Amino acid sequence: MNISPAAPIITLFVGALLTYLFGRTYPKPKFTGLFSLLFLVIALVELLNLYPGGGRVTYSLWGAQTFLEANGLAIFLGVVAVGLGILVLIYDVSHMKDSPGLGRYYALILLMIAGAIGIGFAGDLFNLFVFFEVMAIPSYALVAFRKEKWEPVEAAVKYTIMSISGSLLALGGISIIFMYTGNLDLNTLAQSAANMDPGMAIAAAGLIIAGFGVKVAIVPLHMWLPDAYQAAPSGISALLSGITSGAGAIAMLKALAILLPTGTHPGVVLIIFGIISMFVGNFMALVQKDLKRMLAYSSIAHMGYVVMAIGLALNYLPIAGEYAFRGASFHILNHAVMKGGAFLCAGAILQSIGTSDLHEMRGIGRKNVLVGVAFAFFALALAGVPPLNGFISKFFICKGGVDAGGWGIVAMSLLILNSAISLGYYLPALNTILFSRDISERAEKARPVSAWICVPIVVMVILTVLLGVYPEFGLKIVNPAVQYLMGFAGGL
Amino acid sequence: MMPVYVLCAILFLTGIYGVVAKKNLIKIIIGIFLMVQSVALLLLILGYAAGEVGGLFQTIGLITMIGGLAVMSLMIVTAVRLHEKYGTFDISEIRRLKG
Repeated sequence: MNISPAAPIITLFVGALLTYLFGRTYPKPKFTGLFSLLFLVIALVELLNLYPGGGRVTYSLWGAQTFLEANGLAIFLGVVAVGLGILVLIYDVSHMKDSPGLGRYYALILLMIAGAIGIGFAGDLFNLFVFFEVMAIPSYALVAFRKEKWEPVEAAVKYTIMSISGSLLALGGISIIFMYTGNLDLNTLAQSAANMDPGMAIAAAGLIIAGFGVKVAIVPLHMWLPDAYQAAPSGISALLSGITSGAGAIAMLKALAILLPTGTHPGVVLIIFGIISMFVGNFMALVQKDLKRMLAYSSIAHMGYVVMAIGLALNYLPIAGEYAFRGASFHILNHAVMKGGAFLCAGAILQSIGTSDLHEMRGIGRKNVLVGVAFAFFALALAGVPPLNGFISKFFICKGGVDAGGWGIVAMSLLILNSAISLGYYLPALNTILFSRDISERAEKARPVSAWICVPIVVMVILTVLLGVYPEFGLKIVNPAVQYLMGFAGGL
Repeated sequence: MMPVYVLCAILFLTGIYGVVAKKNLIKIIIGIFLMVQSVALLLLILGYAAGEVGGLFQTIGLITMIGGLAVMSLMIVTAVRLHEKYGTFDISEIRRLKG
């Protein structure tokens, strides 16, 4: 079937509107969730129909031509976002059943996912920015969704202030590029950017790194992240860490790649900030007492791995580009699966014992065996233990580092060191949850977990193992993205 | 044309000053609004300098303003919720927002 590249995005926009109206007129929470799930499934089918890419749609807004393009990268990001979205919506049918205003909640989730897909599909910097905002604005509201408590509202204020400032910086960078080239089309922009003033190109690259870096949470710009992930509903934490940070990294990559011919070296900056993010994220996670906050800091570290891989790819493009891009894309996919799963487990535990304090979780894994064992899989995968998926993507990033040689090998060894450090907090957490001798009072009285919560967690465990022992399954959608990126950044 | 760009930069820096240095949440929101408007203004001026009417620059400028308005209304709502909770807009008295 021949469908337009804009179809998945339009489906989700229409879905958001209809879900909101459905939630207003038919206030039965379970059906609102399932209704919005329908649109995500349609979007997934459309995305798989577009595989492996090709096709471009031009539309005009007040006389300005803009493009949406279905390429390997777009399909990859779309499948990751929609796939995680489907699992989280199934989870939320039970997890969010007591909250009021679920029509709004699901509509905002659909908009956020539409924005993330749009970042992949954007064929010019204008669409890239617009979809970045479409993704960002619902996420502010979703963090503050439980507005009767003080933590979510405060975290959302902090997140909004930092994130909107970042978006404006990125827009400043984009307008500098446009000012000097008069062109925003990603396919031809590199040629027009080649004779840009080098000083202005450096300014634009700096603004773009700082701007999109807020969403990716590279380290000096990460302050909002632990608060937001801890205070948001667990499904939203999973979506934020799985989709928005990955999509932010891809937005940054797309905008920076076109500045390569100007003689700037954004890759070096990304490698340095990636390494700083890994260390700060992992060391801060070591001292956390709260499971969701610990996972949030570990997200910073994992995005550090991705940013470092992107930096390696951009800096040593012809020799190391392939494996570094493959590592970055595969790690975005794996991070969505394993960190999303870990957040869903944390949410399930939070729901059954009423707190996310690690000390109160002693022995919960023996009460809720499924959640405990699933958390073990996710924690080990996040630490990069061999047969699981986290290992494979870290291996690709390391291969990229070795290909690059010189400083690439230094960066790679720091990544391995950081994986070892991260075991230092995953293993104690695992020990507390699964192997603790005494069982805490709250865990003793833990409520059983609903089947709606178990199903997505089990699916994610299966994916974690499958992507680890049979990575070709994941590479099927990763490889077209790598091919596109090599052509996009390398052919310039 | 250059002085106009400098004015936009000054407006943007004023906004950043508001966000970074002010303690009152409403003043921070005003600072963000100044940043949004300065970027939108820059885009509109760039469009004017390029001699286009209703082109890409102006579209981006318009969309920036719309996005800015959405964020602004959201922030004002959250600020009102915080005021109901604490009876103040002073962020140094609101626990989590320190640092």
